Amino acid sequence: MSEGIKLSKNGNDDSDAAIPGFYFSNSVKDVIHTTMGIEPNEIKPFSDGYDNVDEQITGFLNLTGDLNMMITLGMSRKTAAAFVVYMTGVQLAEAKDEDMCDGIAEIINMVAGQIKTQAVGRGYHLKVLTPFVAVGEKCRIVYKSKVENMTKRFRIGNLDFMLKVFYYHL
Amino acid sequence: MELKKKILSVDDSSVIRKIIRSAVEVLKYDLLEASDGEEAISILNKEENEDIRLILLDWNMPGMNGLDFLKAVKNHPVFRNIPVMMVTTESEKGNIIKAVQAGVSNYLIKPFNTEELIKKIMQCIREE
Repeated sequence: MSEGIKLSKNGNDDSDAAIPGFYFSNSVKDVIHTTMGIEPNEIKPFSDGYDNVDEQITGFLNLTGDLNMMITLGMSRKTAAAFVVYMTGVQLAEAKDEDMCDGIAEIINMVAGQIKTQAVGRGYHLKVLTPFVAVGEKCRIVYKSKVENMTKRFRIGNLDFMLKVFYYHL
Repeated sequence: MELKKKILSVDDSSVIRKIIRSAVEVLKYDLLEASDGEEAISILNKEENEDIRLILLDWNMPGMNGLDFLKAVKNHPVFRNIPVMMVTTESEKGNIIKAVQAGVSNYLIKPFNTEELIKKIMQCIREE
């Protein structure tokens, strides 16, 4: 396996990347559409890297093996509650904190499962580790500046959420 | 008195169990829930749960994982005839083969929609 760019730099048109960006986009869209019956639109994150999606609930998950990366799925509590409503059919008022955290963990787990399957098609074998969820007001993901990373932003109605991918060498 | 037919869902995710509940209610079965293998075995051992027609089983769970639970059920003199369907993100061919060799009746990969789940449950119950 050659060293070099492992993640797409510019979004989707980079079939040279170990895992092209559109694989991540398609994984998110497929999971959301299958579990909730709605198709999120992918929109550009802010060009200067600053995003104003208030990540009050963020799912984290590491994939390891032939490639090593961490993926995060961050959103507001309002978005997380909407996800639970869409997935389970409960009323909004019944969407408890533990369900929101559990729902986000499940979604990121399913997204990782799809990425893992697609990675096999490109010759990379990955292991999906246990997801976990961070909860807090105005959480920021802080990472070393030289970590290869990619951000994707999605929208359902007026609800945005972010997928971030951080690739690291071991 | 006829016992209401039951399905047992074994998954550490409460959200997944809620999704499964909505499907099972459509089929007019009662749903029993367990968040791990040990809890599931305890539910199976209760006399009032003798009419469990199907087990829906996650793979990756804390403590006893789904594959080990499946093997325990299929080696049990009383429970081995209960059909088990894996409901999991595990999609690697090797793992699916392991599950089949351990006696799984059907396999549903997450993510799934309710219609797919209902169809597969009906398949398992009909075959049983």
